[in-house]
Amino acid sequence: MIPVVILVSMISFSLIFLLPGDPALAILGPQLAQDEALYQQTRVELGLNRPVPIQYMDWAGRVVRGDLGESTRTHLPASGLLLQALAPTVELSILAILFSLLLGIPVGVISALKPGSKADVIGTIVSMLGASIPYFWLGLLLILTFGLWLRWLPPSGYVPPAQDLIANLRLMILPTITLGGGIVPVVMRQTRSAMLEVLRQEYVTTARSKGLAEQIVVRRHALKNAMIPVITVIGLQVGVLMGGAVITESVFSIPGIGRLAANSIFDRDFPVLQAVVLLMAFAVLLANLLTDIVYAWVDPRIRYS
Amino acid sequence: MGNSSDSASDKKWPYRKLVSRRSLLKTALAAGGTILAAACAPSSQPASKPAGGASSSPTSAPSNPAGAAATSVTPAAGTIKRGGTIIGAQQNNWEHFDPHRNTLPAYAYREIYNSLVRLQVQPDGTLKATPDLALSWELKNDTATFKLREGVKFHDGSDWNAQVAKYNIERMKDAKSAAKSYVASVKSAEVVDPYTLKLTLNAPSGPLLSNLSQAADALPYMISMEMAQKAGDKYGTSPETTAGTGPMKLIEWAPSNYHTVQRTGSYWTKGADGNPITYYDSLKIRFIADDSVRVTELRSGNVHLIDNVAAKDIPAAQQDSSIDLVQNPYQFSCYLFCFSAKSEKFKNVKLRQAVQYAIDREALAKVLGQGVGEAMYYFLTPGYVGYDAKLPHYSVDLAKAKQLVADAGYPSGVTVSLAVSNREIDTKQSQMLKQMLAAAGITVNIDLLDRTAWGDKMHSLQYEMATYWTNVRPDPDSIMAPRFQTGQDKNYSGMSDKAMDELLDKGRGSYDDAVRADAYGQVQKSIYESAWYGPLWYGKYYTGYSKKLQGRLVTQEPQWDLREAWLAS
Repeated sequence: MIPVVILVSMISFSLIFLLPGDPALAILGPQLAQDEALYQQTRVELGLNRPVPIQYMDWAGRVVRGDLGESTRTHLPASGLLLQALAPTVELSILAILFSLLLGIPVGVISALKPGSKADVIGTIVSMLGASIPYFWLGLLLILTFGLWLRWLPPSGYVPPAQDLIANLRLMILPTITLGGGIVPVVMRQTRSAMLEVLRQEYVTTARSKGLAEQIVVRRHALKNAMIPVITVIGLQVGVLMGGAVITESVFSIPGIGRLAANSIFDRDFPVLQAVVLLMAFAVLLANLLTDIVYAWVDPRIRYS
Repeated sequence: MGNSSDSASDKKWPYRKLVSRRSLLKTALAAGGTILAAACAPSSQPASKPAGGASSSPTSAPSNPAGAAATSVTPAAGTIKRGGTIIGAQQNNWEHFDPHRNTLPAYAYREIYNSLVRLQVQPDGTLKATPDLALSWELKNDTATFKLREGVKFHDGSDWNAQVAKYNIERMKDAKSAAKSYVASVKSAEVVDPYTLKLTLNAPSGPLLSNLSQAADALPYMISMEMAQKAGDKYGTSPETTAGTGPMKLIEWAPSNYHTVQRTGSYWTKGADGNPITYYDSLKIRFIADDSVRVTELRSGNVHLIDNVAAKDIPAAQQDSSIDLVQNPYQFSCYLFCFSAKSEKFKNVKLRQAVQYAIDREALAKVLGQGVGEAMYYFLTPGYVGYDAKLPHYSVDLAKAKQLVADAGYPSGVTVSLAVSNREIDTKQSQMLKQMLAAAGITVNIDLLDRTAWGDKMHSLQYEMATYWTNVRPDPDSIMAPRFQTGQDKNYSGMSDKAMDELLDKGRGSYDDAVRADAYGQVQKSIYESAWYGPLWYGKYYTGYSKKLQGRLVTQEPQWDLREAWLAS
């Protein structure tokens, strides 16, 4: 895992330098950048006058010591900004995954039990629609429907759960549906196909022939075994979640990692952007690790030696 | 759930052993369901309903500045209500609370800070410098003397005086300042006595007062010298490092989320009830980047005011009886274009003129402005010194455009590139321009760039033709000189014209409006002839207010003025 983090950080560090636009110019603005001495001084302050590999080593050295640098725009420490932005994104991601599981698994199971039925067709159509609707459009639609027309929920914003849990959850419902809505079809389709596969297995026939209730056959025998590929898919969705969070957080004005990433790209705020990319890479790797651990937990046949 | 001290139940208590997968799943499902049910239930404090019903038609200020005062609500004593929190939403994120060094101002600057003078909209619609931290002033050739307000304290307890004013002027001129261009005419600042400040100018400066006012991009505000010296580069990065003299002080800042300012209760201006302003207790400004979400928040009653209502949202907002859409008669989102002096093709004035004649500005305004756009033929807008609708301008004439393309040496047409910042409206505009220019035999390759990359190209002149946008500045000098004068920072074309430079100096160097108007008229005539720059269209600037929010004032700049505002119940 550690070599992968190092590799990812090296690649992302280099990619950032390929972005068109000069950070010194972005910070100073065209007016101040005309002052050549100040422009050069800013480049030196930012360390941009040195070769990229040296800059990388310097940055990596500081990161290892826990120093992620300072935002070039706000002069606030990048680590502080990252920590502040982390909580909303983690909460949103967990809620989105929960939402996709709560909706995707039951619908997937029902579809698998009665393939070709009305429920299956409707489930498939709805899930395909969910997969095709862009985050921003679904987000705006939900805001208009529940925030403006029905006025059931606040349209946008974020309140930390420690400050007011109910207000926090009310604000999180629409973003959760928006972000989770993109994963529901994946979970649903995966559950459906895995269940179809499992239901054809001989041990399911055996369970049925023992006279077990259908519900028990499905829940205890079939679903549990069908969960392995579903867990894999959810593990893979963490990267998708991070991408979706950029849009969802922008639409719902949530001060999370996604919005921090978007803002730091537009501002060429490299220290913050590098910290965000590193964190995202780490999150995806961590998710993969967790997926592997959960495999063994769900399926006792899997053991890592 | 369980009672761990009940030893009799130990055998049945399943959580004594490792949590089973099934039971954990059950618990998680139940908990998830409960949380969702709780969250979906209507809150005990539902989002406030619209005030409703007062009037179904939107309030819109007249498009002529002369009628601007009509939208100003003068509070009648007795109707004013004290207390409450006003919640606003602004489109752009703010970096910090250091006015001298920001590129995007936080909207609570007006409440936190004061400037030396305040550019105020007068009852007749004209703009006039009025006292703020300076009570009076004398402008004489190349000196400006300001008598300062006495007995004023900053939020950190330090005193306001001429020494602090001098420090601020010098800080605005220092290397890291973004306010440099506004104090460029100031050679030095000098303390005459504790409450008299003397500025020595490089030359007489007509725009000096507006450049020192809040209207100058929210930059020349006066900050606490004591705090600035103590905090250094960290000034304005937290409530503890921010101190102004305004009626409210910063108490909370959640970066990229919101900031809150709170009434100090010790401001020199008294309200209609005899107590210091502001009438409301606090002001919370949220950052909501998405145009549609901002309007939805206003319509749903969660916020009381929003900036920059996008054209596409105006029809829906106009239908809503709970809000007022108010057009700022001094602010427009102007869309313009220019040619790079480094482009071989556009060094030929005929080709530049051909482009000017090929553009149908009315069509651009109609399609892109979505009902709030106007064709723009001049660089100044009505109400500003030097605006004159009798000056020559380009309007669409395809035959002439084709002829000029041929005369420029391209009888079979020419291909040019157009650098465009990747924003929705600029992208659409570039597609329309492509079609319009194609009709005149000019093939356009659109070069779509993100904002920073686009800025780099403009600055280095590494483009052929480009579009840009701007808001309206407080003075013709701040609108025209940065564009048209040799070597200026926003001279995106890189043009250099000695006669033009002299005219701009003449306009800047006079305190007489007639002299200035004449100079700026000639500048516009000259830019028409050289055709390096061209206006396209402008969108009217709308602010959205909840009807609950009373006592609004009209401003020259896009920011709100809430000094006399209060929340009606």
